[in-house]
Amino acid sequence: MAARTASQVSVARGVRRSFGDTVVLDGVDLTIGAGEVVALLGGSGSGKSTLLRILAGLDGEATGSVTTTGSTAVVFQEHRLLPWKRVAANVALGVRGGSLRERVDAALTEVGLADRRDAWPAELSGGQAQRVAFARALVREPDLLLLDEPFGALDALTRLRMQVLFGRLRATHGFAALFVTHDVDEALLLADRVLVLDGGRIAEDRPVTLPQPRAVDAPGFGAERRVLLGLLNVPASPS
Amino acid sequence: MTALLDRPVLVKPARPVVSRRRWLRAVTPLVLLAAWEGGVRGGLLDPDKLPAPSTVIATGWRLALEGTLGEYLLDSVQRAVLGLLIGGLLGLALGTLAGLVRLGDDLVDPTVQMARMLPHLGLVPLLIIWVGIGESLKVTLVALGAFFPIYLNTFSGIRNIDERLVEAARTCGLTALERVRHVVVPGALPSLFLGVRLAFAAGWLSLVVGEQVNGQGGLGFMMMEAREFSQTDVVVLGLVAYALLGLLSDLLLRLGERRLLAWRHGLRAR
Ligand SMILES: Nc1ncnc2c1ncn2[C@@H]1O[C@H](COP(=O)(O)OP(=O)(O)O)[C@@H](O)[C@H]1O
Ligand SMILES: [Mg+2]
Repeated sequence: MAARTASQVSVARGVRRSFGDTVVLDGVDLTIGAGEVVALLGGSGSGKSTLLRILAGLDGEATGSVTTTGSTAVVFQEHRLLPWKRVAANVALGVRGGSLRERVDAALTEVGLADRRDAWPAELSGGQAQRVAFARALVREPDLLLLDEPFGALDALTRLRMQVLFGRLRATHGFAALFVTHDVDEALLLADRVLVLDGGRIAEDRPVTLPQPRAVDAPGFGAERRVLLGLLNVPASPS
Repeated sequence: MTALLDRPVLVKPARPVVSRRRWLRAVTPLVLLAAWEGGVRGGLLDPDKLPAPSTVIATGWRLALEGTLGEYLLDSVQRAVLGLLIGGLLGLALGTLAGLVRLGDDLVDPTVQMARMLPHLGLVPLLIIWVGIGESLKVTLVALGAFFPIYLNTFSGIRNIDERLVEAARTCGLTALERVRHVVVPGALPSLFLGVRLAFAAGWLSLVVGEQVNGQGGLGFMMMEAREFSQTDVVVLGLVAYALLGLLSDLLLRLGERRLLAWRHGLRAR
């Protein structure tokens, strides 16, 4: 388990991070395999975003070791598009290499927004802006996609559509992903494996064995859901 | 409720409300201008104290034909442009330094914040001793007036940039220099435009004050000289010219803003 093989895109060992006297991460170990979608669950303030920023290389003050193989892209809860660049320019931001226009248009087509390439971010709805953020990540052809509650700010219907979109993109591109969410259903629908962050460590590492295609009303889903909610210390719903 | 539904609903045809309003805006100034003209002609106002608008226009036309008005105007504009350039570029450079680099912040910002408390127009006597009453006095005053608003707004524009956007740019693989170009500069631009607008205002004011100090050329000189010969129409003409120059500079600024900040009114611009 400790040895890194070529099939792992990200390995973290003994990751620690504290803010002042508050220890947020206290020795996190995790491994993400190539093409594997891992959901990261945890209560609010448990350090999910902190961990994701460390994996993305955005935190210079964490200790421990993080090794990432291949390219990484990040999608945040907010779209974080540059308001002064049109959609296509936002997607192309920092992308090097030839046939840029074609690649950008292809990425926008994949998220269904080819016709909005010349729009300003301010002209998009929340769901559209988040789809552009996905296109901006996809155009980099990442081996690892880091997602921090990417649908957390969207309304329930848009969120369902985005979950479908995510499944489709994943099937096409085969990227690995660390998917931070507080939504147990979302984790069970999309992930191959679920991690629960608690007390600054990975308290639970649980493969999701539900058959594809998954649905919240498929047999076995409810039971798995109850287990995860129990791990998150959410009392079972009154019945 | 049912009572309301009984009546047919009247749908008003869309009308260009905005353009109608625009016209209304011009009414008050035109009425005032007419009252002024009428007041002088009717003998209510002493033309030696306040000449009629028509007289001012006639004087302006005469001086323009003689070439003196254009000459004085050019003098003033030259001083303004030079002073704004010097003060503005200095403010931009120091504001950027203090905004981007922590060491720059420590070394520059506290000093500038203290110097800002000094009313720069009060420096006139000292400046006369230092640089005399010639061109350098006027240009220095304008530069001082322009420096502070540009510095302050550059600094705050950079500081108020959404850190999350910078972070997103980093995850997109942008180098530090590229982040400055694609995130910091455009992000600070609205604030910088505000600074330029304030700098224009402060610059004009400084120029007016500077040109009242003895010297040669410029609209202020024209006005001071006219006062000595009691040519009130020329004095008023000078004021009008100052106002028109201010208006023109504001117009240019708006034009630049519309082009560079199109993303802010994206919905309207397209
Ligand atoms: N920049 C920071 N400065 C101080 N405390 C922080 C900072 N970022 C996060 N924290 C703290 O770390 C803890 C975990 O935050 P976060 O990773 O955002 O939680 P989560 O994403 O799981 O909700 C919280 O208690 C938060 O207050
Ligand atoms: Mg978070």
